[in-house]
Amino acid sequence: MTDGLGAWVALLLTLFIFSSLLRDNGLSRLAEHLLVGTAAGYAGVVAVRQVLLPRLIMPLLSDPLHRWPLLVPVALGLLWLLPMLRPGRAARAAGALGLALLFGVGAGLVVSGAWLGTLWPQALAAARPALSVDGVLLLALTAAVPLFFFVRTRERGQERGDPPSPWASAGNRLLRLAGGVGYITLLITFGVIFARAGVARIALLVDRLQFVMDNVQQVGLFDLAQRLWQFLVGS
Amino acid sequence: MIYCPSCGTANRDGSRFCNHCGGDISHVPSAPPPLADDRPVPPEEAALLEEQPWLAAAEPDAVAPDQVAPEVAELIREQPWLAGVEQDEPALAAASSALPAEDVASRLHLAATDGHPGDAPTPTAWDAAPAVKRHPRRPIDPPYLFYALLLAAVALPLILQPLPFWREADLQPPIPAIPAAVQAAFQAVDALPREAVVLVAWDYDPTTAGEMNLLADALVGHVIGRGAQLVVLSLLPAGPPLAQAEIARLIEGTPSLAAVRPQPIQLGYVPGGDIALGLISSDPLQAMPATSARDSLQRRLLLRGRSLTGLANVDLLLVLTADADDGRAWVEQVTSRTGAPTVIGASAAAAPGLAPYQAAGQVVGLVNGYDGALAYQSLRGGHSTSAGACVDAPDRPAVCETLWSQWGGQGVLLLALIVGGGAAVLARRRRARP
Repeated sequence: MTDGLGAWVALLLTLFIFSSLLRDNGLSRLAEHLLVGTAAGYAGVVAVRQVLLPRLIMPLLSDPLHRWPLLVPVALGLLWLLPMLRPGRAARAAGALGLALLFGVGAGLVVSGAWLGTLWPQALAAARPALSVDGVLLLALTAAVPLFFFVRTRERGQERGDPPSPWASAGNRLLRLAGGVGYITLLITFGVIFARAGVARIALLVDRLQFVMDNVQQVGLFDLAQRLWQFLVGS
Repeated sequence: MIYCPSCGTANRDGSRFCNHCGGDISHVPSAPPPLADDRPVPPEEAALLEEQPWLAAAEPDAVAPDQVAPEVAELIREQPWLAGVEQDEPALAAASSALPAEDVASRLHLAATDGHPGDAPTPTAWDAAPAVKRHPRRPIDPPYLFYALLLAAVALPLILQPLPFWREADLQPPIPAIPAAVQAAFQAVDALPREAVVLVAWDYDPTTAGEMNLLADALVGHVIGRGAQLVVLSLLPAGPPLAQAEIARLIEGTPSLAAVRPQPIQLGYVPGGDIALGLISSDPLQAMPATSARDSLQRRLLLRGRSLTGLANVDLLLVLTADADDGRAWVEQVTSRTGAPTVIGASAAAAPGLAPYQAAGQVVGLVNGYDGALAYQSLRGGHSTSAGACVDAPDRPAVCETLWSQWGGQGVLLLALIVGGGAAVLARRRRARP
């Protein structure tokens, strides 16, 4: 019974969302609001059951003498609530302490991780196979993309009446050519990204339609249609 | 000035599409220019007009009051919000300039009479103006045509495939070759020892499960089939229940996996994003709540002579993500710091952002999209081409049932791009003509 009801609800909500393709309507809005509401409710339950209870409350209750450092994040969290009380400047600054700590640690990790995991290894990888045809092409295209922005910025500066740089005329044509290659490289890159995004969304659409058809079968709509047909035809 | 026949918005001369509703106004003749008045222009308005000179052509105050149709004037006196400005003569002129009298009357279902129902309309100066010829409405708007085509291309194969004639025809869609990144991922998983510990980051939620489950079935199924110990966690709140349901469905639906009797350990949701990843890389147990799952994990690892004091003890890190940023965070915070061999299963949309890590050798393998899942399943079945997985009837993976729909949808998308791009190029060339 639960499966049948769940299948009906899921099928109807999917069709409600699909109906927004025709025009914005109350049913699609209803489904959207349900989605947002249930997602928020679910996130709240997860926060309580999987974060607050097992990571904070239960350890504090079970062993408060050894787990007292957990009170520090509690205090920082409570400080966030201070601005709601409209306090003075000092209290507001204290309220921002937790946020500053969070952003500071996060930024430190992200920057160091980006250097260790992306910038340095990717720069090395781009330079490593430079002796092969692929490597030369990779390096040339990698260099051409920033050149496009350089050329574009310079052209805009000239349009504004900025004085031309002293070496502008020497490599002007070459720079424009490289910038053009960089522009085309960018276009191809964005085209590939768009195409892959399109493929991903088509895969999701296929899954949803498959779900609709499976559920139509599960809730018995096919049988109903068959019986109706037999009743009408009289066989 | 060109008035849109659909919404009545005034557009500048030479416009091909309405600024308000996007309707085609290329066929609509330009209306005579409005008369100017002698009022001084405020400085800020003058500056605005200097920046956007086309606004001057649409300047509503420039219409002479005697050009206001009486029924429009009456209507706007009663309902001033129709004009959107104060009730003065220029404002009325503005409204009548923006909305032709015929349109206002017909849209609000008011008869243009002197106020007595049934009376014949009173002739006004507007009656003498040439009537705007309405563009005939297209039988099917292009977006709806696109939706219908897409629906047909995706749904028809799903409907027809189970039918006997389709199976007898044994049609095979064109399938690309197996990418090297998929082969590398397969070899990494296939080389796992029997007692291996594999940490799975289940970083996708139900919104992308339609695509990602195909990848998870291929990769996680292979890991389970190798007899490895799965340890599953997620940085998304909706990840753990999805992982639990999908792994259970996978084991239940595959007899060979059920025979292995896998006991995956679900560590649940790990909050904190990048900060949590930093902790996972340095001390995974510390990042997990003190639950029975963590105790169970410790016991099982000790039985295998392992510990989880660092990710160096993990034989493979398998990241399943639909977001390139999440995948990048795992590589930056965990793989680069611990050196754990990493395989990524990513959605097709996320793959371009993650491919450089595989090309640079930072991650062992990358499997992406439904085609990547198909290629991986083919390798699992011992086939050398992607089409192989769909030949063996008993073990046909779920992705095989969707191939024609995937290709149909992509075909319609490509068609729309070609037609839309061609139309845009033609339109630009027509506009460029003198």
